[in-house]
This record gives sequence, C-alpha cells and structure tokens, in this order.
Amino acid sequence: MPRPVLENLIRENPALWRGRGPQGRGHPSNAQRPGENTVDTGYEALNKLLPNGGWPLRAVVELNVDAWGNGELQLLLPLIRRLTTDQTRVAMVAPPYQPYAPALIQAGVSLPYLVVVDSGDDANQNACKKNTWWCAEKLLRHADCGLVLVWPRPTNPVQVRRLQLAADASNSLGVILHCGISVDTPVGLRLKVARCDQGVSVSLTKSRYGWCQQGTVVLPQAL
Amino acid sequence: MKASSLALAPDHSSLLPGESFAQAASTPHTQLWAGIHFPALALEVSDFTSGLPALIIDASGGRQTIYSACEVAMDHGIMPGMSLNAAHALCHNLDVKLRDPEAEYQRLQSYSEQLLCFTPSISLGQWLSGGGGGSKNKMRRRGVTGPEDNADTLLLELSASLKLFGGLELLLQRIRAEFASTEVIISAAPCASGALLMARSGMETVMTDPGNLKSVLGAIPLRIADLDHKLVEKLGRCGLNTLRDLWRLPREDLGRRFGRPLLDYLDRLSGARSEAIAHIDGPLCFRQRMALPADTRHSKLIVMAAEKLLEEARCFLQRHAAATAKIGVDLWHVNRHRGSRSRTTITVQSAEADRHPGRFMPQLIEQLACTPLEDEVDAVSIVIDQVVPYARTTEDLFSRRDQQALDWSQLMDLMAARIGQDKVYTLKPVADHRPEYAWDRSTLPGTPAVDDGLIDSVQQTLPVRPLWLLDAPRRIQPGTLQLGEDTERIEAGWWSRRDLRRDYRIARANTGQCGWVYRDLHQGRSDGDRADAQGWYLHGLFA
Repeated sequence: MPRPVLENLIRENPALWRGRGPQGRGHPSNAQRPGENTVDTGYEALNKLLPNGGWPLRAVVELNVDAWGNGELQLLLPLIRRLTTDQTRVAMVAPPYQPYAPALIQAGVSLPYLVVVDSGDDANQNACKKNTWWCAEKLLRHADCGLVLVWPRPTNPVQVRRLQLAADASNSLGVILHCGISVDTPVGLRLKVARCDQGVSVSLTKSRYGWCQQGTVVLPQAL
Repeated sequence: MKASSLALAPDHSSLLPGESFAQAASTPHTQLWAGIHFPALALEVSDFTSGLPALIIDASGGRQTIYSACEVAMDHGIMPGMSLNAAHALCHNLDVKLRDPEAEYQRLQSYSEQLLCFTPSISLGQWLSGGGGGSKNKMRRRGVTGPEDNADTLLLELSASLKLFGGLELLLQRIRAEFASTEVIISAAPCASGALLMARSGMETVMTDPGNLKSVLGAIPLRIADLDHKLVEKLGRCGLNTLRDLWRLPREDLGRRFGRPLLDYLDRLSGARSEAIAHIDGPLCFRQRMALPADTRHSKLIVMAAEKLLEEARCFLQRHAAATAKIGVDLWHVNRHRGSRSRTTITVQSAEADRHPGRFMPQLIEQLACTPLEDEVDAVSIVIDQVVPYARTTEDLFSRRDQQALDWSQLMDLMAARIGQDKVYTLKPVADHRPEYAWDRSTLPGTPAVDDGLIDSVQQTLPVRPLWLLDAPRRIQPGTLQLGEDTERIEAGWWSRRDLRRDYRIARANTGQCGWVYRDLHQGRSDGDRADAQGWYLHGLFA
C-alpha cells in the first residue's frame, strides 16, 4: 500500500496507532509527533516521557500509587486547571476522600466546572461498584466532559475496556486511579507514581503507543 | 358578570390565571368565531355496549324525554324531544341511559384543551352576559336562557390565528382533523352567538361578511335559539317561528312587547352588539392514567405505558406553552386476594424545566429499577401539576453536539436519580477560617456564580491546603511521621459551639504520603516541639 494511503488511514481511523519499532529512538519511524492526539500535561519532563508528548486523548490512563496522596493528583492538576478554565467539564467519580475546595482554588481550578460524583460510599458494595463504573462511563461518553477521574475499588478489566470504548467515542481522557499492586487491565497507558525526596517520580509501566523514553522522570514538588 | 380567562397563547408570557374580559372590541367585525358543535356528545360520553339502539334521556324537566338518539334509533323514527314512552312504542328494544351533563362537560373541556394549539380564546359556550351586567337568574327571568344548559358546542375566536395557519380554510381543515373520529359540525361567523347558533342548527357555513349574517341566520327556527321556551311559545302563538320573522318586525314594537333581552339577543346575533364570553380557565394540570394490558411487575411494560403518557404530556405542555421540572408517576397496584388498591409514587425531578417530558424517561427508568414494587401494577398515571412558562433557549446552530445526546444538566439529573440527589455536586468555597467549614457542596444546576473576592483571598492569603480533606480528623500517633514546622494556627469559631484551636503542620509518612496534621490545643499544649502522643490528628492529604 502506498505510503500516503497508510498515513490517511492512521489519521482517520482512531483504532489504528503508530507503534514504535525496535530500531531505537533515532530512527525516523520512531520520531515523536508532539500534539498528535495528545494534550499537554503541563510538565516538560512528563511530556517528554509520554508518547507523542502529552496525555493521550480518546484513551484511558491508569495512575498507580502505593497509597493515596502520593502525588497522583498533582500530576493531573495542570490539565484540570486548563480544562476547567476553558469551561470544559471535569468529573471526579468516587474519590477516596473529600476533594477540598480551597486547595483546588489554590491550584487554579475553576470549581463550577468540576463535578464530584460521590458514588463510592454506599452501604451496598455491589451497587456502589456498579454505580461508579456506570457514572464514569456516562460522563466519559458525554461531549461536554473532557476529563474523568475514577477511583474504582477494585479495577475490573471488563469495565476498563468499556471506559476505553467510551473515551474513544467522545474524544476525552479517562484516568483510573489505582492504589496497590497493579492488575493487568487493558489501559493504553499505565504510570507508576510515587513520592521521592526531590518531588514526584513518574515511571511508565505500560504503553500501547510504544516506548519513548524508558525510566523515570522526577517532577518538581508542588509542596 | 365577569368572565375569567387564561392567557395561554404560545406568545403569551404569563401563565398566571387572571381575571379579564374577553369583550368584543368596538369594531366587532374584526372578530371571527368558529362554533364547533358535537351533536352526538351525550351518546359518546356514555358507553353503550349492548348493541341495541341507544338513547340518552333527559329527566330534568320532570318528564323523561329523549335528549339524544343514535342513528339506528333515528331510523326507527325516534326523535329528540319525544317522550320515552313514545320511543318505546316505536321500538321496544332500546338501550336507555340517563344523560350525564358532568361527563359531557368534562369531555367538552378535554376537546377544548385539544384546540388550544389553534387559539387561546376558547369558550365552552358559557357566557354570555347580555352585553352589560345582570346575573344569570335575572337573565333567565327576562327570557334568555344561559347556554350552559346544553353545553355541546365550543366557540373559538380565530381572527388572530388565520395568518399563522394559512387562512380560514386550512385552519378549519386542521380543526376538523383533530376530531376525525367524532361527529362535528363546524361553522364560522363574525360573532360568537351567530357561530354558535349556526353550528347548533347543523349549518356547516363559513360566513365572514357580517352583512350577510341576517340572511343566513334568518331561516333558523326560534326553538334552537338561546331563548326561553315560554318566550318561544309566546312568539310561536304570534306566528313568529324563525329569526327572519323577528327581524321583519319593527324593532321598537318588538322590544316593547317581548322585552329588551330579546332585542339584545337579536343584536348579538347580527353582530351589532358586542358580547362578553367566558374563556376556558382552570389550573394547568396534566393528569392521565393508562391501564396496562395485564398485571405486571415487569418494568419494560410500565415504561412503555409511561412513554405513551409522556407523549400526551408533551402535547399538553406544547399547547399551553409550558414546561415542567417535575413529573409524578403513580403506579397503581391491585391486590386481588385482599381486594385492595394501593399505589407507589415515583417523582422524577429535573434541575431545568423542559417542555419535552421525554427527557425524564432515562431518569424514570433508573428510578423504576431501584424502586421495589410491593404488588403487581395494573395501571400507570402521570401527573404534572407544576408548570412554568416555557422559555426558549437559543442553541448553537453549529453545535458539535448531536441532538440525540443528553445535555449536561440531564446527565447530572440522571446520575442524581441513580445514586442520590446530594451525591452529585460541585464544590464552592465558603468564607470561614475553620477548614471544615471553608467549603460547601452545591447541587444547583448550571454554573453558580462564584465570589471573585473570596477566590482571590483563598489564592493569595491562605497558606497551602491539602487536596484531600478527611471527613473527620483522624487521630494519629505522630511518632512514625516526619513532622515539619508549625505553619499555621487556626483559632476560630469561639462564638459557636464548634470552636477550634489548632496548630497545623505538614507531616510526611514513610509511604511517601504528605499529610496535613494538627495538634489540638484544647487538649493541652505539650512543652516544646516534642511530638506528643496526645492530641495529634490527621486532617488532610496532599495528593
């Protein structure tokens, strides 16, 4: 097939993506395409780590931490800030703790565009699990919603796949925040987030878009 | 006599029922009234199932006289006005029912609702003060009856709707189409009394020229006119049987002999005198019930019935240019063993009023799924009793969103219906020094206005706050934590019962988490900076 046809296919069909060959980063087929179906993370170092230089759109990303409060929100705050000030909705589904309004304001988030869905605390565990996935999927499918953060407890590969399809249909980004030992879920991108002395360390543990930069980047500590 | 009316035209902004006169203007020729007569109304409201010739009798005058007869009965020679005995003599097998004026009135009212999409000025034929003062009784004494005795005709003022519907012909066609399954006689005339009389006498005439009114109405016998029986008899004895006979007589002498009200009536008929007409009125409320084909617990069947009812509700709201934010759905149970009836009420609410109740459908399905049904359901009814004027929202012509999709507030409503009204919210800051009270939830629709001054002060003067706040501060053993310096003392709320005195600082755990911890100064301050086992709490997490 001639090359322009292939290029067109990749551009038009969201189910196709460009993998990275084994030839290494210097090879032309592995060149970075900044901004292609991605959004800026707000961190220079993180942009470099992620394929195509930013958070992937139409995808589900998993952030894996050992315990809540290890810098996972700090990673996302620049994106939340930019989306909410652009009047795009951002949703938090089943957060483990109460998101604190003054801190969000300090981070520059425009609160009216941040919706909290408290589907997590219900006496009926089964119902609340179901509701969490249901709400996340509905939100992710909605055209007004640019980013959905979900704290599912626990993650479920089937539901993650559903989210993946929902995100794909609506050009938005879903982020699953997972605490503890990571299980295999069909996410496009998995990052391990931890705090270290210099700040927050982020390492790429899974990427369906191919490897760009192995290893870990350290983001400056916000605190 | 006051005539109340309700302004409900699509372009009317107010829905508040108010008292107003629908008084014909000084130029009565600009009006155009349509009279819609339902000759078989009495037969339609009673249900005849026997298949025998059907008769409706009227026993109000002390005698049982035929009020209305079906075609089969008519073929036997039975005519309205006959006595019941005479009818039995003509045909011995008859299905006879007593007239039910209440049901007729109800049916007429529902017909009038149906017509509200054509004009807001609809009358159930109830009026008509003779142009000036005087109670009904007085009018009756003077010889003019109130037409509410035989309310089987609707009056519509159409002059304002002609342009919208493309002329009188088309408009009347559409009105006729509304009553495809019912026998109707529609006439039009420049005055209400004339249109009413023409329709009632069976003349399907469209008359727009007031000059011809007298000649068209002239042949109508007086017994059909809105005149007292005694007066008609009296006139009959003088050899006056049609309206034309009256119009031929010298006006002054007629008035002197038969009274002023007769002259007034004749003047109204010819359009020479204005008239006041009561428009339909009443609280705006939609109440519709549908029986299910079988008793069921199956939500799919219930939803199907509700869908049909909501479609009717949509027509209702559209006719009244109204919108609603709340729909009550009643599920009627029947317990055949106990023979008792009960109902389950589901209330579906939305943050925004909408004229398409179909938007409540997803919410209803959700709520139905989580409502336990105690018994089988045999009927569903929908009640809309809170309506607001419909406000048209402008939509972006080039909106990227497709029309099928739920809009944002709908999605919020849907989620709230599933997981609880107070669980879907946005956050807002509150001006309070105490961390627990420095924020609040806001479940209001849309984007609430935010106090910019408060945001500036939070951003610029408040020391750093954690992204996660624990619902209740958790007692901790500070030994395992790396405690930082005191960053902030918060001492507030002494005026209320919830006063607090705390020294906050940032602590770091071995797991890497950063916490916002405080020492409760109420519990006695320990000496120096030594981490005391007493009074340390974790209040938030820096995420």
